[in-house]
Amino acid sequence: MTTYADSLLVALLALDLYMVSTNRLGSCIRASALQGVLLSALPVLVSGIGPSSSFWDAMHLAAIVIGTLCVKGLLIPWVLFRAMRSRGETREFEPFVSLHLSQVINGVLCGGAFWIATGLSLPAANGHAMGLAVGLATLFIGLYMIINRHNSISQVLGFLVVESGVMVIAWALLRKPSFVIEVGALLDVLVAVMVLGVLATSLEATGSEGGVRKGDTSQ
Amino acid sequence: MIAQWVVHVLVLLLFPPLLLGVIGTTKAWFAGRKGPPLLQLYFDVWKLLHKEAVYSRTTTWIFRAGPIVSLASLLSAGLVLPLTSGSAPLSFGGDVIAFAYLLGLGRYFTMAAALDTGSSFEGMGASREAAFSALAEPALLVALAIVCVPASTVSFADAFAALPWSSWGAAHPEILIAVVVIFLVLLAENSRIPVDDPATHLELTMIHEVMVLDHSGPDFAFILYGSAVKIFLFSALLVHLIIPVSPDGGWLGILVVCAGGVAIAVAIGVVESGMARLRLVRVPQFLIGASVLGAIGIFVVLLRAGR
Repeated sequence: MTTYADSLLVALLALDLYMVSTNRLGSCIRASALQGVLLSALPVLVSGIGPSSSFWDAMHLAAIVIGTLCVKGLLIPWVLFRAMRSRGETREFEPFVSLHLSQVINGVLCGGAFWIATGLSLPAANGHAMGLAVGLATLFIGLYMIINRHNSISQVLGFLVVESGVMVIAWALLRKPSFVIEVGALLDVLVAVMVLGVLATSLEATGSEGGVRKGDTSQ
Repeated sequence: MIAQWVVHVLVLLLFPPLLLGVIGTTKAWFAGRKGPPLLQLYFDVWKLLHKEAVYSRTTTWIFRAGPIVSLASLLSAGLVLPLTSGSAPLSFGGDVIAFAYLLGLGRYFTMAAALDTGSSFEGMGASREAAFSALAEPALLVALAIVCVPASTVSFADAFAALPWSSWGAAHPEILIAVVVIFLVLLAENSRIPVDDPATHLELTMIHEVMVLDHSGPDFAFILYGSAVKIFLFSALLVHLIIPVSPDGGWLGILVVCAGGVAIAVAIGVVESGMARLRLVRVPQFLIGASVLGAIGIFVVLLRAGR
């Protein structure tokens, strides 16, 4: 993996930490959009497809980049913003674990992910432990976000982070457009279903209550 | 060598107050005001040095020692940190740790002097300073560790000599992390805006200004001058991470450190103009975030070293 990819991965991880440590949904959605944009640049840096590659490889790569950019960078954030506005919820009020402690826990999770990544001897990941480490860390942080938050929009955001982690790991291991990565798009479909779910409940609930645990928010 | 150290000491003594002037001018420019002159702090310090200090009868020698010890420890820290060249007049194994704790010693005496006045208001400021600096210290140490671990050293001169300069931004995300973390610590340690507002007086939320309310005359001059020195030390540290300064320094070294210091002062002014102060309960989160980011930098360093 090139050195530029390393910097990009660190930026992705920094965004994860930012999302965990803020309770403003708007900032969280923006960070997630930025993460989608950065993630769409990752294939360009790791796949080694450049001007000298064949036309179809280049088109394939371009399709993946533009698809990721449009879906994760624009479409999902836009829908989530709509959902947020229609519900009138702009903050995650009471995460189960305080934001301070969450930051520390996520630092530990990152440490664990980096430790596992150096310990795993995957032949395909040879020399690309960074991608594997950041991917695992992102995955863990996403799962943590899902279990720590009540608000359904934050949970969808957590799932988006999980999905980013899966994409990073896939690209770190495979480094070329392949069937497995495209199957990963099914996760996007799952995100779409969840977003629709959020929208549907927000239509139904008329803004008085939302989230999975009933009666815990603005009543 | 002697000439180099003379230059080091002269820059350390004379340059810092200009930085606060640059911050003030930047903020004034953003607010569309004229602002105080660039050299205002020099005038203030000169004026205060000619005044008489007033001491309350409840205070002891600690109150009088506070400003002197804190300025002395900051200047000693300035002798340990390389400024105009890649090495400092006092360079020894472990000077990185000495630097961090000389800053800590100065802070301790500021807090002790504040408590010595017996005013509950100043005690509150001291308690906040203690709480926040306890969180800022790990962030600073972790950021310094990012710089030191690849070279397996605890000396500034060796660590800076071992820094990789070629295309550092892209190739070395850990250095970028160290720069960001040190900038965040700079804002916290120097009581700049997202953490504390240096312009407020007599407000319940302030931290640093409240601790020095009882100092007057030359003591207050030492405190003002010391705060400028502290900003200069942090900005010099940042400049050394961002731009290489060759070990023999020379005129180019002086130029890089001074111009870099001014650039960082402008950056601080921009941050202060563009941001509101964080609520007091959010400050620990800001500092813990900096520490965690620094920890990730260490993980990256270790991963790349294959350990």
